[in-house]
Amino acid sequence: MNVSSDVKIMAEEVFVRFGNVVALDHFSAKVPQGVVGLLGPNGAGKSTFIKVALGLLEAQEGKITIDGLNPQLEPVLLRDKIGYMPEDECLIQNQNAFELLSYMAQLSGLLPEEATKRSHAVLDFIGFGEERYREISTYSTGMKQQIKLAQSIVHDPPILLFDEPTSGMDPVAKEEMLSLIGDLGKSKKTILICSHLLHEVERVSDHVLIINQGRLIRAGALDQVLKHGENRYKLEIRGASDSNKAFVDDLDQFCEVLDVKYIGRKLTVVVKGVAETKEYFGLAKQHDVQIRSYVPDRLSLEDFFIQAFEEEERNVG
Amino acid sequence: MSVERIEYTSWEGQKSSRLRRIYAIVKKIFRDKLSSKGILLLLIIGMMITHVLPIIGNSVVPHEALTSEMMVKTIPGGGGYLTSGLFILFSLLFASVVCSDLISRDLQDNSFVLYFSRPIRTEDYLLGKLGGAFTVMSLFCFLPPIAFSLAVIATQTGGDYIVSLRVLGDTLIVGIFTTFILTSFGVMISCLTKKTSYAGVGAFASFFVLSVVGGVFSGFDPNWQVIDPFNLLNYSYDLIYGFDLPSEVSPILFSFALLSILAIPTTVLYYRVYRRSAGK
Repeated sequence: MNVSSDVKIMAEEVFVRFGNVVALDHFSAKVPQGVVGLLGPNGAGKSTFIKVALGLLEAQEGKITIDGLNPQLEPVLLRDKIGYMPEDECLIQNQNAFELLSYMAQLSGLLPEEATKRSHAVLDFIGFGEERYREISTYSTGMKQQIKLAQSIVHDPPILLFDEPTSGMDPVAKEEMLSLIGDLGKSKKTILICSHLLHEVERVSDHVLIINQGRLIRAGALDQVLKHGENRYKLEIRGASDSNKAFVDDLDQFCEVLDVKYIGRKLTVVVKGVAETKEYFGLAKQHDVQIRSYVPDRLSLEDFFIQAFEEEERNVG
Repeated sequence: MSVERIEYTSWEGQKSSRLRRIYAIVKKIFRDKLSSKGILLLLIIGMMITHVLPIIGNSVVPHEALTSEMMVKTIPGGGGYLTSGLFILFSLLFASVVCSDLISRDLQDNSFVLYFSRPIRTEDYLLGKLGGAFTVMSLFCFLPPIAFSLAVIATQTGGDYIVSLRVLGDTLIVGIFTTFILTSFGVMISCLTKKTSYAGVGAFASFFVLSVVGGVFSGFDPNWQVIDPFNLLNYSYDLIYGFDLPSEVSPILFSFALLSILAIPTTVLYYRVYRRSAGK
């Protein structure tokens, strides 16, 4: 997946406080074109960032620009270019999906005839059939999430902000939602996905931003981020506990030991380095342990996320 | 049954003006309200009792011209077409039903965010909601008095149409004034609660509570009459049609009460919706 260097959303030293709680603590970030994951635990400040970007909340300090527009100064112009899928329940319950989409399209500036055509096209895109004429209050959580996504794209905005798009969905519906986001990503839109579900974001994102306690702690293109995982190998060792320990201690001679897990007599070690295979086996023989498996280990976004958090904690500490 | 998904297609077209977006809200409210059986039933019953009978009665009875007295003073002690009590009572009932869910439903569904993440301002949202309610309310409070006036003018025996047309002009003002006051009051009550039933009952009950308070305290001081919204509307109609205020009522207190009923609902409404749109 290609990431354009064109910055679509730029946050500079954004500070937002609710009473004693600091939601965004001088948050600075650049969101390029493509599918971008804004990752962080619950309460990290992801939704607050989106609300400030939409002009629904005012930052006490700093500024955000979206496609060069300031949400506080030009909210109407800006929202013409944005589609927002909120996390919370927000659909008008006593309408059907088609009516809601058509209404939202008209509020976004489509004429009634255009709104009708466009609503049907979007409902076809998300795979809604006859159920588009059923009242929204009768929909499942997954269907409601899909309608939330549909209303955000009905006016075909170039920038999409999705807040926890797979929230409350079952695995099949999640798959469907990720597939929809993936398809949208191909249409040269900028899609910012707020989520704490890393494996989902990893599947569709080109770029990630990691936020914690209102601060950006890591950012980068996903392929670059995961490149840190090159030359990683996972070894499964079996032997007496003293031998296992001695083996791990001596591994340092050949490579960097990233992770060690003891489960009874079994030991799993993640290493990074360019050691020759025979050196591992030689060391195993020397310590009288068996290497049961030796496989390349891929760094996942989750590993990267955990690393980023651990480093952040060390820095703060 | 769900269908096989199609590819995403972009939309290319000209965006509409701000007014068209406000009109979309107005149109939706008008359509929703007129597709409600309850509202249609109330409208028909109210029309028959409040408007149709007086239109027939006043058209059949020989008359020289349309006069202000017909509108507000015909029946001694009992008021005219607009001040008999039925018009305001049914208008209030209609306002309670029409306006009750306009904002409270959005509060209940949490759908403010759908509106305010789109290219519309708080003012546009409010204009759309008030405009929609005003249009529906005008079916009862504005158009029938005009129809009454036109029917009476059409059947008048005298030739002085200038007097009749002047009364028609006053009736236009009364219609707009009544519709605006009841609509803004009803929508204000709707923005204070998530429950549409509370909003409906609240609008109706608050008029009656003020009426009772006004009635009780006017025994001590007649100026308390202006607290009663029914009296306030009746006195306003009198003024519009060129009659004087009752001598026992202070014009200053009356003006203050009138200003309050005109300004407070819209101010509360704007403040409350603005705060919601700003995420507060």
